[in-house]
Amino acid sequence: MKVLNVKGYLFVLTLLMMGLIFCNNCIAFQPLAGDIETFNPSFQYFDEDADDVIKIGLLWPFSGPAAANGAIYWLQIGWAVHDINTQGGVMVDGKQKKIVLIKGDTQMEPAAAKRAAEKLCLQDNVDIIMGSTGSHIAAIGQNVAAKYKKIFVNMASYSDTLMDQDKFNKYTFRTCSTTSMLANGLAHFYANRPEKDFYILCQDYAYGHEFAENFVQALAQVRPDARIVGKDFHPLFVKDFAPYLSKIQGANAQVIITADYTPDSNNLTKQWDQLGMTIPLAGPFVLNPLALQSIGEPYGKGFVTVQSCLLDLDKPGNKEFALAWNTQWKRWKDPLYSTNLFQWTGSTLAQATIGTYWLMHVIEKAGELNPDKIVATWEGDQTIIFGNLYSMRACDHQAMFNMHVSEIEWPNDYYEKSAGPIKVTAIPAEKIVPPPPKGLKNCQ
Amino acid sequence: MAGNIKKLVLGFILLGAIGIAPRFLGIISLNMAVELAIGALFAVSLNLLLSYTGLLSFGHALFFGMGAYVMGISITYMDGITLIPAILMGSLAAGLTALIFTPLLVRVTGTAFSMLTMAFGQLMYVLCIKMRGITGGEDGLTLFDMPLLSVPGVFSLDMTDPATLYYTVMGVVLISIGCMWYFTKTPLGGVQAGIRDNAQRVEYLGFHVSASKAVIFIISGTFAGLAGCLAAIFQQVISVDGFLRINVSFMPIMAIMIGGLGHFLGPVIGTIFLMFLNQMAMRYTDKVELVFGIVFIMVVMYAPYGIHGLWVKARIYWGIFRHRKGALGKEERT
Amino acid sequence: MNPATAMYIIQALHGLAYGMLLFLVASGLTLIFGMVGILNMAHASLFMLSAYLCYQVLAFTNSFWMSLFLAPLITACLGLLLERFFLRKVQAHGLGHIAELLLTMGISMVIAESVKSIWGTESLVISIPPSLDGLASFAGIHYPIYRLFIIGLSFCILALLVTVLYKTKLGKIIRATASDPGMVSILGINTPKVFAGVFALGAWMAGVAGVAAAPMLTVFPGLADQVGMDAFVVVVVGGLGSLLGAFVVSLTLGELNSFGVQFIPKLAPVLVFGFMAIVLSLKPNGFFGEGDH
Repeated sequence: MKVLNVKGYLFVLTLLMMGLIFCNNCIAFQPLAGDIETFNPSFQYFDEDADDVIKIGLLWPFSGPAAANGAIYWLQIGWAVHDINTQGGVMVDGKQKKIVLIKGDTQMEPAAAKRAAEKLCLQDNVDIIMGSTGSHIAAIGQNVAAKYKKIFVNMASYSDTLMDQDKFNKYTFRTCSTTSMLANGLAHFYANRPEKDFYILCQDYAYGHEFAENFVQALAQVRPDARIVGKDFHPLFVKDFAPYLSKIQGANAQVIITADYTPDSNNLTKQWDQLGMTIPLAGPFVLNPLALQSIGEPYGKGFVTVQSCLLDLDKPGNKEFALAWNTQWKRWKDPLYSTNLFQWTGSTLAQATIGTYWLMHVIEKAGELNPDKIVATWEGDQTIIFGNLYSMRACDHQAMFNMHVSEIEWPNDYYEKSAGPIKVTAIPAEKIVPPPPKGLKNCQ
Repeated sequence: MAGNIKKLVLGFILLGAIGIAPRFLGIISLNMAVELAIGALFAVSLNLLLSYTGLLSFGHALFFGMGAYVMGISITYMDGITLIPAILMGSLAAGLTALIFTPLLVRVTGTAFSMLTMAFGQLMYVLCIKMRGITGGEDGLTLFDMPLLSVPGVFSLDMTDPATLYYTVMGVVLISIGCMWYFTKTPLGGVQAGIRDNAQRVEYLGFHVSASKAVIFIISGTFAGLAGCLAAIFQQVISVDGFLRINVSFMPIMAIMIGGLGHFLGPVIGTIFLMFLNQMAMRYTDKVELVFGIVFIMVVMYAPYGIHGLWVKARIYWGIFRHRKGALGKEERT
Repeated sequence: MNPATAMYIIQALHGLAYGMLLFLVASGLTLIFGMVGILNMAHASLFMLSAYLCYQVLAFTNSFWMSLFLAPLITACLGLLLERFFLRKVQAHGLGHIAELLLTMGISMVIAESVKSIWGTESLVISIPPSLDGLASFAGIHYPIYRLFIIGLSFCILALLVTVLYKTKLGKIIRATASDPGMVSILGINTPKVFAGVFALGAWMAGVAGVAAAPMLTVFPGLADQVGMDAFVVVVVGGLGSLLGAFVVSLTLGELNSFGVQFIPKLAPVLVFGFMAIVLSLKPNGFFGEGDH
C-alpha cells in the first residue's frame, strides 16, 4: 500500500500545519487579509436589495454643515467592510454573507435623525445600526433601534451619560471610549512626568465639563502634588483664542489640557503658534495633521495626544495597517479624502474601523443575526484586534480597552514630513474605565 | 355660496383622508405626517404674526423651545405628572414668555423687530446650554419614559404608539389651526390686517395698536409653544439643537415664503413642499443644501408669492386662455 | 513693564485685531444695507469664499500679496453679478426683506456647497506668509506681527472708505443716493450703477477680510457661519446702515471678548447675545440707527 510517498506525506503535513496557523482563532476573516488595494471611499456601492447579506445602517450626517463628519465614518467603516467583503464575507447561518452599508442621513438634526433611523429599521430592514456623532443624536438612534429590536453600535459619541439608567437599553453597545476614559488616560500619563502645573481649557459644553472634571479627579489620585493653575470654559466655535492663550501665559502653566475638537482645536493650535507659545497642548484632538502643518516646523512637537487607538508601531499588525492605509490614501483623488487629514490612520480614524472588525467577529461567533443572540454573545466577549484586547463589559455594554497616550515627535523616521505619535504609552484598561453606572439592573 | 359648499366638501374629504390614513400608511409615513403637522402648526403660528401684523420674527424657536423644555422639565422633575398638564404648562410658559417680551417688542417694527427677536432667541440658546443642570446641556432631556396622555378614569393614550400619536397630533394641530383661523375672522383679527397696512390710521380709528399687537404676539407664541410640546413628545429627546437653534426659527419662514405670503394656509403648503423636497433631495444626492439653495433662489426669482401665488397666476392664465378660446370660437362662427 | 499691565495691553491688542477684522466684514454688510436696504445673508459666504480663493491663489502663485490682490477682486466681481442678476430683479418684486432674506440665504447655501465640492470639507492648510511671521517686541511686550498687520490693513481700508465717502464727489453721490435715490436719478445719475458699485465695494471688503483672516483663523466650510453671526450682531447693534456704528460696535465687541475672557470667563458665551439683547431693548434701531428702513 503505497498510497502516499514521503513527498506526498510531507505536503499533506504542511497543508495541515498551515491550516492550523491560519485557523488559530477559527474565524473566516482576518483584518487586512482582503483585497484592500481596490478600496476607494468615494466609490463604494452596495446592492441594497441583495439577498443573504448583512445590512448595516450608518446613522451619521452625510449632508448639511456637518457632512465632513459623516465622510470620516463612511471611510473608516467602509475600509473594514471592503476588507471583509473581499475575503468572502462573514460566516452567518452556515453561509458566507457579504456586508452592505446603507446611509441614514441625520443632517445633524434630531428630527431628521429620527426619520433616518426609522427608515433604516422599517424600510431598509437593516440588521445593525452604527452611529452616531452628537450625543443627542445617538440617544435618538439607540432609542429607535431598541424599539424595533435592532442592535445599535455607538462608535462615535463619548458622553458618559449615554449608557446611564435613563438611556441604557440592552440592544445598545458602545465600542468607542467615553469622555472619562480619555480624561483618565491623560491624567495617568502625567503620573510619572515632570510637569505638574496644568491649565484646563475646554469647551463650555457638557463634554468639555465632563472631561475637565474627570481629569482633575484622576490627577488628584495619581499625582497629589499636581496643581490646576487655571480653568476656562470657552463657548463653541471660538474665532480667536488669543485672549485665552495670553491669560494662560500669565498663569505660569506647564501644560494646557484641552478636550476641544475641530474646528476649535484647529483654531487653538494655529493661534497658539501665532502667539509664539511654548506651553504644550495636551488632549484627544490636538493631533490634527492639517492644523499641525499650517503652523509649520516643528509641527507641534511636544504636544500630547490621548486616543483609544494610537497605532503602536512595535506591535504586530499596526505598522502593516498604517502602511496599507497610507498607500491607499495616495490613490484617493476626491477632495473629500485627499487632504492630509486622512494620510495616516490611527487616532480617531481607526476607531470605527476596529469597532467594525470587532462587531463582525462577534457576529461570526454568534453564527446568526438574531439580535438577542448577538447581545448574548457580545456581553463579556474578548477579541484581540491589532494587538489590543477589546472586551465588552456585560452589564452596561461599554467597551473596555487600553487607552493610548503619546507625545508628538518631530522629526521622525516614520510619518512623512509630519509630526506623529512615536513612543506610545498604553494605560491599562482597569485604571481608566469608569465603574458601571449606578442604578443599572445588571450592574449590582 | 357654491364656492363655500365646494370648500366644505373638500374639507370633509381631507378630514376623512386624514382619519383613515393610518390604515394605509406604514410607520415611516405616519411619523412623517406627524412631523409635517407639527411643522405646519409652528409655521402657521409664525404666519399669524407675519401676515396679520407684518412682524417677522427671527427668533420664534424661542417659544417653540420654551414649550418643549418646560414640558420636558416638568415631566422629568415632577413625579407622576400626566401629559395633559405638562403640555398645558409648556404652552402657557411659551405664552407667558411672549407676554414678558411684549413691552419691548410692541414698540419696534420692521427689521428692528426681527433683530430683537433673533437676539432673544440666540440668548435663550446659549442660556439653555449653560444651564445644563436643568436642561441637560447639548445632550438634552430624554423622555424615553413618556407618561400617558390620560384623564384618570376617562381615557388613557400611549404616545409611543405611532397611530395613537398620529391621531392625537392631528387632532391638536387641526383644532389649533382652526382656533387661529377663527381668530383672524374676529374683529380683533381684522384690526391686525389694518395695523399691517397702516398702523396710524388704525390708531385714529380708536383701536389700540400696541395692545392688539401684543395680543396676537402672545397667541402666536402660545401656539408655537404647543407645537414645541408636540415635537418633544414625538422626538422624545429635547435638545438645544433640535429646538432652539437659529435654523429652527428659519424653517417656518421658508415654509411661509414658499407656500405663499399673505395666505392663511400658505405655510402648510410650504411645510409639505419643504419636507417633500428634503426627501427627494436626500434620495438622489448628498448635496441637499445645494438643492435647497437653488430652490429658494428660483422661488424668489420666479414665484415671489410662492406656491399659492403660482396657483392664482395659473388660474388667471387659465381664465384668459378660456376667454380667448371662447372669443376665437365666436369669431369662427361668424 | 509690570506683567499685569503688559497683559492688559496685549489683551487690548487682541480685541483690536479681532474687532477690526470684524469691522471689515461688517462694514460691507452695513454699507450695502444702508444703500440698497438689503440684509445680505450671503455676505459672510463671500468672506469665506475669499478665504478659499486665497488658498487657491497661494497654491498657484505662492504669493500672499498676490492673493490679497486677486481674491477680493474676484469676490467683488461675484458680488457685482449677484446684484445685477439676482438682487436687482428681486427688489423689483417689492416684497421687502423676507424675499431678499430667502434669496441671499439660498445664495449662501449654494456658495457653501460649491466650496465643499471644490475644496473638500476639511480645514485647509494656510500659513502666515514668512514676511509677516513672528513676534514684534516693544517695551517688553511681544506681539504677533501678523495681527498688527491686520490692524494696520483695516485702518488703511477704513481711511480709504471715509475719504471716498466724505471727501470725493463720488462719495457725495453715494450718500445722496442712499438717502433719496429718486431725487438723485432725476438729477441724471444712473442710480442702479451706484447701487451695483456699492454692492461690489461691500463684497470687496468682505474679500479683503477673508484673505486677512485665512492665515489667522481656520478655513473650513463653517467659517461663514462662525464670523457671519458676529458681523450680523455688529451691524444690528451698531444700527443698520451706520458705518460709524459698525466701527464702534466692532471694537466694543472685540474688547468685550478679550477682557470678558480675562475677567468674567463664565459669562463669555452669553456676552455677545446678551449685549445685543440689552442694546436693542434700550435702542431698538441700534446705537446709531436712523429709524426704520
